[in-house]
Amino acid sequence: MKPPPFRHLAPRSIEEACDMLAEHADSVRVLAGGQSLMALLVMRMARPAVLVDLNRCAGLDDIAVEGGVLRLGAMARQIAVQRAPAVAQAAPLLAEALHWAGPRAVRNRGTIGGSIAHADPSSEACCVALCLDARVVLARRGGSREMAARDFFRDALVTAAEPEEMVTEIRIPVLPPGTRCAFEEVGVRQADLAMAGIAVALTPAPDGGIAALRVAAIGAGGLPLRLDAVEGALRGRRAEPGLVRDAVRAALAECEPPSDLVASAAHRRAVLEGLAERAILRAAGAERAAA
Amino acid sequence: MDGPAPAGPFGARLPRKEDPRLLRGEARFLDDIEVPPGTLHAVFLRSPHAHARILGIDASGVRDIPGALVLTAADLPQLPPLRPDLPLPGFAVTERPLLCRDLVRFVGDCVAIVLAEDAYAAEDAAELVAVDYEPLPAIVTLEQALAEGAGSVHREAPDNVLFRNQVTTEGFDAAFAAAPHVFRETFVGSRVATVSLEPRGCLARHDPGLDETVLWSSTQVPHLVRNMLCEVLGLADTAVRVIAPDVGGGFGVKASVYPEEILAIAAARLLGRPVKWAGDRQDDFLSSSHARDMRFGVEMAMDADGVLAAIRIDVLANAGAYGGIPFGSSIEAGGGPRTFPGPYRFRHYAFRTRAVATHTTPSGPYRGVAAPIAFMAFEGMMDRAAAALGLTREEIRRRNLLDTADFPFVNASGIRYDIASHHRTLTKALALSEWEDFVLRRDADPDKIRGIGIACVTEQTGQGSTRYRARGLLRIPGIEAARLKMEPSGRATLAVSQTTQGQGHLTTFAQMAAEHLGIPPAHITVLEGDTAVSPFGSGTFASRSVVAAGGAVITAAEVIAKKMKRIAGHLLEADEADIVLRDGRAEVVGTGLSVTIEEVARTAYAMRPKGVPPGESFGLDTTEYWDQPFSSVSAAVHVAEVSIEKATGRVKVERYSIVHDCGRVVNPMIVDGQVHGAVVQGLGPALMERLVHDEHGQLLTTTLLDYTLPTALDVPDIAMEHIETPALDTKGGVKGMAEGGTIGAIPVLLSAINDALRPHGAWIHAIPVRAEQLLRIIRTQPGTPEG
Repeated sequence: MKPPPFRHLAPRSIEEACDMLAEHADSVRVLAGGQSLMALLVMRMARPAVLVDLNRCAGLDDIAVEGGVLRLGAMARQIAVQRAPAVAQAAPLLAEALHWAGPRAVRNRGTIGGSIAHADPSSEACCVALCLDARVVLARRGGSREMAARDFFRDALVTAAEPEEMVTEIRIPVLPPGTRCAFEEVGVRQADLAMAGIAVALTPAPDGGIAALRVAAIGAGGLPLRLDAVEGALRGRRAEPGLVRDAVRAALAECEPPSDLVASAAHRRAVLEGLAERAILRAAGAERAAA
Repeated sequence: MDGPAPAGPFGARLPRKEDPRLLRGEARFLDDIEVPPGTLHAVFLRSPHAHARILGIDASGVRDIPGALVLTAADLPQLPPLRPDLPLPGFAVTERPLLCRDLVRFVGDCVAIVLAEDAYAAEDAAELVAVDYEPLPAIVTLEQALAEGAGSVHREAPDNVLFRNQVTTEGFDAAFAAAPHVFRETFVGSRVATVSLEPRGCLARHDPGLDETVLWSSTQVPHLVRNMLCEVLGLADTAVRVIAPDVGGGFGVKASVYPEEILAIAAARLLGRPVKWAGDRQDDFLSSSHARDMRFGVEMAMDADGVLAAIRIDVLANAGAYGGIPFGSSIEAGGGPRTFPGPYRFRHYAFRTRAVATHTTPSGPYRGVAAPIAFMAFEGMMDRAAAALGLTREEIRRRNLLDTADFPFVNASGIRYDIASHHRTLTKALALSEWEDFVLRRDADPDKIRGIGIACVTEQTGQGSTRYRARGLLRIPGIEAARLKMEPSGRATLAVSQTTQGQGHLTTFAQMAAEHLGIPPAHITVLEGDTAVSPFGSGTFASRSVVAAGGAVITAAEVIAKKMKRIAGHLLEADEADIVLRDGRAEVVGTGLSVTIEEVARTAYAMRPKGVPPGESFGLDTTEYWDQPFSSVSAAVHVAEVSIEKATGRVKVERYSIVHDCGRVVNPMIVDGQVHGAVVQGLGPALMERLVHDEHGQLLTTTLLDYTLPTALDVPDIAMEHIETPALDTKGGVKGMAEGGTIGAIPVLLSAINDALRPHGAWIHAIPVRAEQLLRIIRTQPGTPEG
């Protein structure tokens, strides 16, 4: 478990990093917190010729709300995101979900941009990004582009980023006032990779019904998925247990959860039903409200 | 604790002497040892196939890596194969090549040693060795191995049975036939890995000038490693030194001698350069022994009152591709029926047991060996019998537990129990766990179902030479030794024939000796783990240390204390019989006359005006051997309470209680820690740990992501009480105790889960119990929640 030889480059600025990526685009990986990539390297499952290490790169770790958007620098550590007042205010779902992102030592190193760029099927950050309609900012030499998280994630560990591009920022629209969030997750162990997880953001209507609902799931497919069917079925209705259960069941029946050593597809579906029902009902309660 | 606090160091809750340096990061594990100049770093090239013919090995590619080289079987033609099992009745004698020449028999079998200037380059080079394999059909499971026409893993064992034994006690058939109730079930263990925090590794150095060969190895058995190096490589034992540095966990997996240790020395001698191998986690999963891929078929015959009449069991153990050294292929298959009778009174016993070869990683000892599965089977049957007969689970056990009047007792598998407190232990455990009040807790949470379980277990510890000879394991001497040397200062060094991997030997043995020498434990330095320093012995495994090595320590302390009393008597002009050693002084009882221990020691070394008594030899230095005549059997009762979440099937261990009797306790803090750790190593296999192979014999769980070990968050607080019934058959009244926590945890957790499932009418008889299985039962067999 030693990595094959690679060249280590440590840019000081985004421009320098983009130049390096462009120059070595045929075999390059970006190193952020290293909590996933280092494991792939030592198991020789990733073999880039060049590593562009962003840990000394300036201007990538800001966390701020500007113009109704929460902007998270890609190199903001998960622990910093989890604790930032701006996140608590604009997207409390993310803070709640990152609590599950690994033990403290991992969250101290792991970054929000690294999680998004890695696109692990069990990633809490990816699930929340989908749930909250986040946008991903990608920089390259001479420019940048922005795309919806929904379009950015292509498959397990596969994204729309080109080799010469790097994620510089995650942008999350500030949740509407009164929106309540819930995140539920289950693994084999108390603290584990998610076998199944549910993220919910629910905006109540003045009459007590559901004005808007967003639900995303870990373990419902090969990637985190938005459960559009649940959202559609419950919008404008009241969150009553029977109704929620039926909507969740119907939506999950259309999904194809993976079967692997951790759990069968049937078990994932069964667990997701319970988690989704619990999370939606919890969000419909008055426990957590965005300011 | 039972009784008053101890007056002396024996029984005191002393902080461990070894902890400060471990906690400060000052320990030196294998990978911390500064390597000598010129050291080559090794990677063992392992077979990616479970069963394949080697058609050719092309190592020419490594030329691209400066300084790299490759050794195959062809480069070490003088190396004989290992012969794990001896030609004794019941054993098939098979061979294990150190490096495979023609055939590989498991994913992980060594094919070549790749050496380079550092470990990175060695891995780069290993990728460049091209081995041409012709894959062959693999035998993976017990069923496959025993099926008609299965083929053979070894020519010498055409039916794949490496070890077999069968015993029927006299009168069994009649007793079995006469019993009104017979309960039957098959219990299935999960194949597990030991996962010591530090994987195996070694550093080999040969000094041709001195003709000295030194191996530093992360091992539990330095003397046995030395013996095997001599046996296989034809070296003189005087020219070979094996050192176990700080070792990051053993738990049995490092009690075997492995090919890598022998190959590292062979390569170092051949190349004239030191060779280092620091195994990584994948090496560990693939090549360190696996354990407990076992099944127990049980037929339990009882009379109308729930009293055991006769038991028949059929045991199978998946031994993997080869027997290990020194435990051979019989470790689990032999241990299963031997430990099975437990704390119960029954005399009619029949068993058949077989160790079965497959194309998987060799099995070996792991904390408790077969006992956790044996008790999962026994205690599982007791729960089923209680349910069928309308008895409570505690009552059926009370009717069968050995009582004070039964001791000494020789059980149906021939193991002698000197004394135990099973009934008191059970009563106390029920009280500690608030067993009677569980009914009030059962339905406390509407989102969960809850169950409580009980397990009464025994633990055979401290086996001596007689036991190992009876088991056909002649490579294990079974004896232990201690060299106690008091220096002129009155401080002592105590070299013990053992090595420690976290058991706290440096503290425990000092406490045992201090009691006799009248000096504080802090003045006794325990030395272990180096064949050049430690006297000859077997090693640290099978909960032997406190009994087998402790016997030698106490004997040596007694010998030195006696001599100190003779010298003190001479100095004080008093009868040696009136001298007591305490608080750093030798005093004449009741007189106030005394002399310091230092004065006695200086006299012994001719450094004082007055000499030793006439006829007395100089020095305070002795080496004593100890052979434990009988096993010593500890016992415990575990009670666990679990909840199962209705939405997810997840199990949480809500409460856990143990009452434990391991004779006199030397250091309660160390004993508590040992039991806590052992419980965790039972909780894992019961609820989440399992090694999984695909149908081709490929191991799918080779990282700590796939092989799920419990973390601290999965472990409950453990309430524990000790009963101290002094052992009669051991020095100091002690019994071993390092494995009982694991032995109890697996059966008790299964018992608690089955209790929770009783309203659903399901009995689980295999581990690990997975959330998936529980959720399916809860959803598809709704049953009657009110019971």
